[in-house]
Amino acid sequence: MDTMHRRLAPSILALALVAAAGRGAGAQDPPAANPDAAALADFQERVQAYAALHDKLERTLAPIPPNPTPEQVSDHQRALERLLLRARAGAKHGDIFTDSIRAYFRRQIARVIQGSDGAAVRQALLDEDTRGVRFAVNARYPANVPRSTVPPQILLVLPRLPEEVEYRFVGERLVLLDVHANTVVDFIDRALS
Amino acid sequence: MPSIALRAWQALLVVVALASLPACAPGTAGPAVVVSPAAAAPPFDLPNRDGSLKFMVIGDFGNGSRQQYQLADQMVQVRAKFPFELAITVGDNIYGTNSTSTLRARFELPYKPLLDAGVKFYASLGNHDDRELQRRYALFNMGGDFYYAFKAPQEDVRFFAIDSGYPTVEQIGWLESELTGSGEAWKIPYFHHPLYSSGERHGSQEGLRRILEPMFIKHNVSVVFAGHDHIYERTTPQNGIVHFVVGSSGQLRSGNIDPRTGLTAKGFDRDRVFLVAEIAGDELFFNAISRTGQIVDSGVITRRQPE
Repeated sequence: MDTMHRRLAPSILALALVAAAGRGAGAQDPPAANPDAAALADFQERVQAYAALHDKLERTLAPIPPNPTPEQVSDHQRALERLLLRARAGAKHGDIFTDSIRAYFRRQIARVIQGSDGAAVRQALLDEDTRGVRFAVNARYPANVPRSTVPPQILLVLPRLPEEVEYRFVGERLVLLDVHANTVVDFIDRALS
Repeated sequence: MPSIALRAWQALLVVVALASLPACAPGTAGPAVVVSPAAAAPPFDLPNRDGSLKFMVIGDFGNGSRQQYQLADQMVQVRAKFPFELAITVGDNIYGTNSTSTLRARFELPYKPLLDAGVKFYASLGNHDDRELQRRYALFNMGGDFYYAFKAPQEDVRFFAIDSGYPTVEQIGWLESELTGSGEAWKIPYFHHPLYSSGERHGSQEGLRRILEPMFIKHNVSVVFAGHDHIYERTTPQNGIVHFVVGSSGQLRSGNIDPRTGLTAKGFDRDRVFLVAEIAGDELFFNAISRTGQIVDSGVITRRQPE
């Protein structure tokens, strides 16, 4: 059977989408034209530094073999989590989502929620009742808490991320999640306010 | 608004504009798809033709319950009459912490007769799934990816497994590219979050719909499979496309279909259900089957033709 795993060349539309959305903060207009450029560049720098640390630490581990057992995947996650915890022992809330970028994210999300798709987007974000779930920077994403849907309208307006991390919502908090280690890198409270 | 956001919204408009077909209100039937009324067909009164594509659809199943196993027994009985070779899953494949023992109890054991017979499962991911594990799990055939496409072994069919919980710009671009590049007559997307659903718990995912539906219309998609709501539902054609919710293959939210949506061609929320389907030429035949072996829905969908 011919299985195609994301290998086709991007179409014109894909290119248009990618070009339009830009390559994260790096594709912003010159700083003079964009009052958020400095905050975005700083955010991107912090995310890239985290991703570099993640990659450096993950390379010290044996790679996950093809067709792994659940335990092999879990062991890899745990080992990476331990390395990250050790390397980021002093990490705290706001290290990546600084004050200025938090304001930017809240504005971006608010514009979507107040837009024509706003009700549908908000419904999707709060589809699972995850209010009251407790977590902290460097903690594992809570077991048995379902992952929120992140609507495409939101992903389009937030800075793009390297593949090591992704955005998720837990209640009204926006979480930056380490995909491989399944740990909370940082978060924004009241992201939907 | 900063320029990145403005350009992103412009891109969104491009997606919609390129689709070139206006969105219609829910319940608006497109002209090209014909769905026969459900009939009390005897088991396997499908065409069951040699050489056709026969497949199964399950969703929201991996809870290890007695009911999941009982429904799996029905699948085995059905396969004895209707030898499907592949199964697609619409997510929430394994609930709870994933370990060797839970994968065994919630997937490998209940479906062992099917796996032993060579049935290949092609998974998509739901919000309860361990993404890092399941995308690598050999029996889910995801090749390590969160989203992928594959050509069916029979008939002119291509399936698109979409990661509906995290539809990045890259994924939307990939999907558009794959749909454009696919020369197959049948293009069948499947994913977890339903674009149309009468489930009271979750319901239609309208934000996702606004992005995906124009692409599906543009590329002559005829059927879409999803889950998430723990019910079985087949909608009336929505802008020409029939949407199935197959979210009760293990879980069940009894009495959860809201009849006021006006979406439902057929719904069943009193027991667990799986779906079998057969594509022969321009027709897709289907039977939805309950834990007791009752056929709760059946019919035939004729493929939309390019306009």
